[in-house]
Amino acid sequence: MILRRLTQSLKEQNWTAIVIEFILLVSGVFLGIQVSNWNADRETRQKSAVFTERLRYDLRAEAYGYRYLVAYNKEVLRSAVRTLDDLSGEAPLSDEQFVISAYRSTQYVFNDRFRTTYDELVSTGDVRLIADPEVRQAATTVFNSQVFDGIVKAGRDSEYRRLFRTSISHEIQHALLEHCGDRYFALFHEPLVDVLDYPCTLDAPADKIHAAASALRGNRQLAAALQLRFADIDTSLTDLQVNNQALFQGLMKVAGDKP
Amino acid sequence: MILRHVIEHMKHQHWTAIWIDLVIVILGVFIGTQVSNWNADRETRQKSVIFSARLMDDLRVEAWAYQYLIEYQKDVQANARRALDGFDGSHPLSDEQLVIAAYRATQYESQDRHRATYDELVSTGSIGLITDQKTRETAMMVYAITLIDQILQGGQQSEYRQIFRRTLPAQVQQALLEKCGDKILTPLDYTGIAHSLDYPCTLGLPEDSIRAAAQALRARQELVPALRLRFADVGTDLVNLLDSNTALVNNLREIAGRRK
Repeated sequence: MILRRLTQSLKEQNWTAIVIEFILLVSGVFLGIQVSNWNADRETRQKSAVFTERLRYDLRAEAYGYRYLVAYNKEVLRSAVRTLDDLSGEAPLSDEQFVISAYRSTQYVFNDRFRTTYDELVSTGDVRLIADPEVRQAATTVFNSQVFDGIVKAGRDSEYRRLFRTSISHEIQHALLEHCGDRYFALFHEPLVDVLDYPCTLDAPADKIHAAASALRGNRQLAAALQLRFADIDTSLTDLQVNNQALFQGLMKVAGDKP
Repeated sequence: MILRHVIEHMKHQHWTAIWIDLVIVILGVFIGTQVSNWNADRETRQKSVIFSARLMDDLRVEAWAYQYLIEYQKDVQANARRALDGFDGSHPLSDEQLVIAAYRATQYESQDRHRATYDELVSTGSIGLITDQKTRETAMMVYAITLIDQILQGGQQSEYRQIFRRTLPAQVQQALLEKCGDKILTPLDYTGIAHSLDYPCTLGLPEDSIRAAAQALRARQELVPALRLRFADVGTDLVNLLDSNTALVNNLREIAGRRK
């Protein structure tokens, strides 16, 4: 219809009509595209809200995991201090409590990560869907930080852990794992205390416990390896609480918790 | 004069028709764009169905492999315990059964991963094609998990495995591999994963060579401490497989329970 009229106007050289038809056409196409864009923007805003909410949840879980890691390592450190005090004769423990403390000093926590939303956003090139710069910053920092893998690796590969595990009979190791191992809490469980350092007994024959304690106390390399482990855990705690304070505070802010 | 001409011309225009034309153009462009989008969405949905089905097939195998790894590690742990009890004499074993248990305690399971669909989706930035959030998250967790590689490395590089392999003669090791090694399973064979390593077997070797092998193992002082370490490490692997990664474990179990 427009084209027919435009042709007709051109034939008749009706310039006013031509100009009006031209403006009409340009405005029509422009407004049509705008309406399409508005529609696309509305859909993007909906996606953005969904992804932001999912990412916030993941960051809340990461913040909890971060606090769990700090609490856990503090309890490992406490066990290491108790074990070292026994080995030096400063504060002797019963055989059973010594073995338990020595075992808990070997422990490290394998934290679940909550990075699926972030990885999805990165792999699809949609990180821009997260409009809040604080959320984006916290996610980028926490999911690219090397600190967590470093702590896990140090715990898993520690010389002290190897010495402990090669010295103790399998029955005692099994009893330690069963009765005095990590507690598994549901996500967001509070308070974060006694995750590892809770009262426990081994429920194993006294002679086997005594043999385990003697094997540990008699191992000359153990104290030095534990001192190294103690210092490494202390460093990990400093990394978590001091050196990565910006990361921690960013997480807590997004999580809605007080640091 | 010109202005009057323009006004005159403007008066002669059919403004109602002009407005109708404007609305028609806007609607035309909008509907054209929408039709194009709907078409693209239809193609995306078709691709999504195909990729989702392929990914679910892969995840079913991954779920099976995860369960297989758990059962396998339990078999390794049972043999490590048996061998330790045999070495310290608390539950004596025959020479043959001691050698077999000690051998099986060295074993690890190497898994083929089924990640082609996932890698294709990630490399093309198309993971969004998987519309089911749980499926998408499960895939991202299972293919990002480092635990499976760690368990593999722990087995491959274990001190105990090295000591064992250095100690026994080649012919005994050959017999162990042939007669008492891993059963080869086809993916999704859930029945076969129970005792795929810890099944009754004999070596079919002369008695004196079995006795010599057992004596060689008993004589290695560093063997028992290394086996204790291996026992504890396998225990840690099992705890990590079963109690850590709970979201992944639950999702995989759900996927394993789903029928095609």
